[in-house]
Amino acid sequence: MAAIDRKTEGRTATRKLLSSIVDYLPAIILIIAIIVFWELFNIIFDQPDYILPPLHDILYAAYFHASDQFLPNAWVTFQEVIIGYLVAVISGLLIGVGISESVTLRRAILPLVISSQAIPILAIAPVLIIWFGFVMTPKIIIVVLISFFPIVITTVTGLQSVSRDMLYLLDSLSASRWQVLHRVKFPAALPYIFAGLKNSAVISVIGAFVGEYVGAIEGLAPVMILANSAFQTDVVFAAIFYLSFMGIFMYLAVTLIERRMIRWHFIARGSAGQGE
Amino acid sequence: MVAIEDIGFSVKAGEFVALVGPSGCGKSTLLNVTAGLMPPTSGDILIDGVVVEDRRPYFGYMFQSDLLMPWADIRKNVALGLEILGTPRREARDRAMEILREFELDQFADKYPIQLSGGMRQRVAFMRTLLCNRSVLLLDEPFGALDALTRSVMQEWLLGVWERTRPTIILITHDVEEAIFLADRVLMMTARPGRIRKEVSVNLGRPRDHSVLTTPEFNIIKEEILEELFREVARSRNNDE
Repeated sequence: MAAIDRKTEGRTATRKLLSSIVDYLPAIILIIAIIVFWELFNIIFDQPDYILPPLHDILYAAYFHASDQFLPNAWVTFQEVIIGYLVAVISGLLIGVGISESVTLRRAILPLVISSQAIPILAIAPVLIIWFGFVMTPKIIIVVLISFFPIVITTVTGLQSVSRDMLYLLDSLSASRWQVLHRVKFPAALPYIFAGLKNSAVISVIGAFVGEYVGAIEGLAPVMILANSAFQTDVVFAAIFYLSFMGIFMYLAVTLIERRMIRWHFIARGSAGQGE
Repeated sequence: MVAIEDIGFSVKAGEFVALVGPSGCGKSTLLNVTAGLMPPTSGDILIDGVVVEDRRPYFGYMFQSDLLMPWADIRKNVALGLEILGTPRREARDRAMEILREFELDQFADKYPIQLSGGMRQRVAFMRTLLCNRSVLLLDEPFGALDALTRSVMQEWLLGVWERTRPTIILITHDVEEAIFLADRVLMMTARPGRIRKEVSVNLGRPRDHSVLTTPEFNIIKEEILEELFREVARSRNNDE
């Protein structure tokens, strides 16, 4: 009996693996197509390496310079991303709740929040460098500036998504504002908020990079600037790969937290016949 | 803009009263004012003969949409009202389970609302209202979103629950048959500004089931109400032109 169980278990495991390969088949095919196209392009048009290095050179550079250049510098960039992102999440949520729940706060803060997004980051980045120097602080500030806005907007939209009748129902139960907020409005807002959190997670990487680009000693941007001026195009592309991986990592991390925190959202969609 | 005007009616304890009227006659406004969610521009609402400062604790509310929280399972949804009223979470959920068991809905306790049919969700919403133990239940077209067959099943179910627990119920509906089938008394409202045009007592025996729908007595009452309603709709249309 046990042997049979193990056998069928093994079979379902293989089937699971197969079906997950089938699920990711489009992505795998697309990536292979890009690799083949890139390599073929290089062979057919015979580009000089400093204009378009072949893909395997880039991967080799990414591997060869990993321990002496990429990993230490990526770690610096990653710290800026993470710290800036966490500050953006906390401030974004607080500002979002404030704007949604208080008319006074909305009038006071909203114009500032919106105008902060109209400021060209490249224009104030050098000023921040002058104020704080070649340290992490200006980069973190830029990460916060660039990534808190989607969180504010999705938080406000989510909190306001609760129907008028639901608010009547809660009022008929003499619910306090706090009860309405944390029992109903906030859980209802979570799917919206996570959309903003994912958006911000990815653009926070851009924020850190822009901050480094205008003045930094450590980080992936200085690596790129240096490589660029030395015509080491493969190193430039390798740095871009590291940045992309950072963006993907941030996105996946938020997605994992989302799956845990709003499992109901996926159950609901699953049973409605629209599986992930 | 005046939604309702010059309205006066009284409801006895344990009575089932239905309000029917053309859409937009301010039925929902009347309920909101009654329940103390909106202040009336003029007039009073008396409970046991006195004006009460905060009327909300006397009324339980139920709407056309079930308003269940998609992130909470059925047991937690039923417990919501009690928890907001200050019952400790454990106790509220135990009592939610009890009432679900009493009305044979306990097999859904761990399900999410989306996994239930519309009729089941409405039953759950009604359990949530019932559990708060309010003396008057205000039902604002509670079956309006259901298909005709489910609606008839739900009407019988509601009658059964009402006969067992005997709360006072004020039901808003635009379904005349539903009003007669369920209520002791049917109040008819006019178009905006809403007034009470007519009152009809439903002298059909209780307990009732769907067989009453085809009796001559039922049809006589239905004819009386429908005639008045059509007259009212025609009148408001003439006023608009």
